Amino acid sequence: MEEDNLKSLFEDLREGFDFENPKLGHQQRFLAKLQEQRDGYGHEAFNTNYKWWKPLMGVAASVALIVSVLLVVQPGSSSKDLASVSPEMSQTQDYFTVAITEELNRLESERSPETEAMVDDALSRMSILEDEYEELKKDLTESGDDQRVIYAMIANFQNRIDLLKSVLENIENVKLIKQDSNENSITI
Amino acid sequence: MSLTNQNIEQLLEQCSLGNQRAQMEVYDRYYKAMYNTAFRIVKDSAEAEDIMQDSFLTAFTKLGNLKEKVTFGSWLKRIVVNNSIQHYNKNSKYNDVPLDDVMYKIEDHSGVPENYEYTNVKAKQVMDSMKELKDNYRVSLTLHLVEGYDYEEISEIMNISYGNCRTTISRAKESLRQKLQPKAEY
Repeated sequence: MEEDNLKSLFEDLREGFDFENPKLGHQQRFLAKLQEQRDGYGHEAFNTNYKWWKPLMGVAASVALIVSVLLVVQPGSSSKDLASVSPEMSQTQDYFTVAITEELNRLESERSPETEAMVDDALSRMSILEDEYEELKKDLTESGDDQRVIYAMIANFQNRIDLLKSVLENIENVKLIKQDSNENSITI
Repeated sequence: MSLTNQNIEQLLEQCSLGNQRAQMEVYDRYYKAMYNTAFRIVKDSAEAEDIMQDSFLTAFTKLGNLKEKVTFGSWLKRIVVNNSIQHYNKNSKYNDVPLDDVMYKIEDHSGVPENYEYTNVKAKQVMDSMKELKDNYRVSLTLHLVEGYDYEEISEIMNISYGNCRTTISRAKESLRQKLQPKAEY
């Protein structure tokens, strides 16, 4: 092959050389990079324009941190509860909490080797419902007293009471069956 | 208003204002050429994509430095080439040979997928022969014959002397000719 051949070969093929393609989704990946860069540059511009702020920013950040820690440590003040919606709701919540504590105490008093499994199961299910309630409290703050969230909170209380009641009933039934069968075994 | 019909100057104007859609449009127009340029030098799909995308980001932030907007394509390509060479220099220090490369050499290239266009087939065969060359031969020859840079530009890009560049390219050409010879005889 002559010197010129090689050159003209490449000239002819120039259009064909770009036959590779990046892996699928490269556009999304690039978009993500663009976004990241834009956010990054936003901060940089901010810092260069307001350099004198920097020491104050540190102080402000630590003040904000202390305040937020205090808010978190003080129970109830960081997120809203059902009681904060209206006086009626406050009553409702009081009623439910009293009822639930009562039932829980009854459940604890029923604890015995025979009922151990049932009580533990009930308590674990209770803790699931309590977690759900914590989520709802957050939702309530975010949604701004949405009616549906309030209903869901009341339903959650109701579910907890229903759960405790049904467990206590079951425990009673078991005790009855035991008594009956014991009597039977005695009489026979 | 559609961005697809705008010419590159208008688009770049939008890009420098931070219009993300305009930036994506520019990306769509150039990514393929830029990806291939990077790929020919670094030989790795993921690396080539990273280099290509990072070059776009650099280009968008430094658009103000570009006086003649019509030359955006070649300016962008130069950024891609520089980044790829930087990467190539970093990697060639370790000089590792991935298993894939070894396997590649014993593969049989006579069977070519039918849906390829004829020029693509030929171009692919030529590129395959290029891949068999020594790394510095391959890179300098790519820059010279595919990207169309002259000796002076290549010696600057690869950071070698003008004379060294000439010698390397002429030896690389000789070597490529030998590789292409058997294929041309078919």
